[in-house]
Amino acid sequence: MRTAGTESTSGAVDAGEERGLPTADADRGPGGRLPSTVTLVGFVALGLLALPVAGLLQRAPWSALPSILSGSEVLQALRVSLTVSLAATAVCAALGLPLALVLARLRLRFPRLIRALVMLPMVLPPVVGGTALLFALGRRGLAGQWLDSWFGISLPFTTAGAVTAAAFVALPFFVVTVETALRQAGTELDEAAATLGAGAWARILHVTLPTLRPALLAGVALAWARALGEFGATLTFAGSFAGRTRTLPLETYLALERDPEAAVAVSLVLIAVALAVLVTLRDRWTPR
Amino acid sequence: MTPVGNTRPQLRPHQSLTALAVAVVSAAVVAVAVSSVAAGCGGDSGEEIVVMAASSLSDAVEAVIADHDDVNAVFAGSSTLVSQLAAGAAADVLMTADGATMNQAIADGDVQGAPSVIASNSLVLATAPANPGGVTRLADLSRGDLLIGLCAEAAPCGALSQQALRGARIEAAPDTLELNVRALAAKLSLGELDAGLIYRSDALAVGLPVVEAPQLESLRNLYHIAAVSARPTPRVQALLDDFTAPDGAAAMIFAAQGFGPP
Repeated sequence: MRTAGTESTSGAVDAGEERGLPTADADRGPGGRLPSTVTLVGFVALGLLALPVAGLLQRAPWSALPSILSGSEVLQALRVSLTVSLAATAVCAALGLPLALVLARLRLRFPRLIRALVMLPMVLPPVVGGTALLFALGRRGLAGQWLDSWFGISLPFTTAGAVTAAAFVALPFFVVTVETALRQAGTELDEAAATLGAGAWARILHVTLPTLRPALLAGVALAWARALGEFGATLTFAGSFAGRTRTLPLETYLALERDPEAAVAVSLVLIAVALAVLVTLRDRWTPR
Repeated sequence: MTPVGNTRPQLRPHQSLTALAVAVVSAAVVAVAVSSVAAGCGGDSGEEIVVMAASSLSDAVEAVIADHDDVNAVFAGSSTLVSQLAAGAAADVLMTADGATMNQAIADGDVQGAPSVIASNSLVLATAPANPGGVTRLADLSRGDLLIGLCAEAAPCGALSQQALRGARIEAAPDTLELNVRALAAKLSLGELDAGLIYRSDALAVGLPVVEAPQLESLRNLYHIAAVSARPTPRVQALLDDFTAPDGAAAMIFAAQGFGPP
């Protein structure tokens, strides 16, 4: 039990590493052994990543920050963002866990193609994803026309549509994290439980899920962070309407043309949230 | 060092790595320098001319600049263009869909040439193909059972729409406020929205049904053009002259695409 737990922990770390998240392994080993050029270029790269944040901080209207962030437009966008990103994360978890189990445990035909399909929203420009969603789930779309005529459900330009767009781009982050952990954990415990007479549901609930806990949390956090930052697919598929589909990123974009200071203020909120998620991930799920 | 035949000094592994790193870094520095120099002299003769134009002008401007060499156009909502200029985007000519956005660019100090008006447009009530929502009048924009789209108020078409709706005392019930008029027209033509206010030229370009609305006829927006620099190069000036000539080819193209006279 103990070993399996540790293994799935490292699974979550590997999943993080795939997306270039910092891991504690980077500072392992004797210090000062790197060629100075490598160190130098490394720090230049770090500077390139930090520079945009510094740019925002330098333009931040610190004294006006409280009044901007408590303005009705920002609060409204914050409420929409929280609703949409949390709902999208719930959708990701509900759909993503079964999908991760299917990918990790079943012998599928064309596994490479299926995995590529799962990861597609990660690499697709979100605006392409939003257009594709319109053609699929829009009122005149492939599946959307039936949703509309059978159930009277029309997703575009609704909060549910914004949730759909955010879930579409965030789902792969959850699935890949959990699937990697499942593969790392292996099937030995599962098989042992099966020989002891545990049914398929009991094995998932009492064997697989407990060992997956760290990966599930990491998957949820990453999917939520991605959903919170979603812009292109939301704008294309769900439009932009205050209180309904206008999330913080959309509000930032609009504010940039109307009131750049407000855009900086809203950006700071998003950066703070994203950093908090990533720092928490690192502290909780990577070995020191 | 004793020169012996043609033996070259051998690089030790860490030296060659250093050399590689230095080469990569200097290549990057050179690339950045070259591209910034190239961006800085976009208006020089023989160089590319960049036109920033409101998205409702996209078809017309593409048609006009097709006759000029090395002219490229960037299209976005006028307010987006103005903020891009403010952020340092390199352009030679700015064309906005109203005077307010042009004045903003002038007030920001990003446009130094004198603006002139080259065309006008008016709003129409456009519907999805075949008008599935049964839209018959401007007041239908307040129907809750329809999916309604308008332009965001920062964009000229949005400002004009608000003005029109206020004048007609109609409380619209939009489901989305699109950032530029072309995005709105696209969603109408996909049938994802039932009705919206777009420019006459866009309805014509996309081929959308138009419902006559007398309340919209008196309102017009005026397209402004200006050189970004106070002293445009001869090529930029020639392009401006083409756009502003009252009976020139550009005027014909604008008229054919549903734009009104200045």
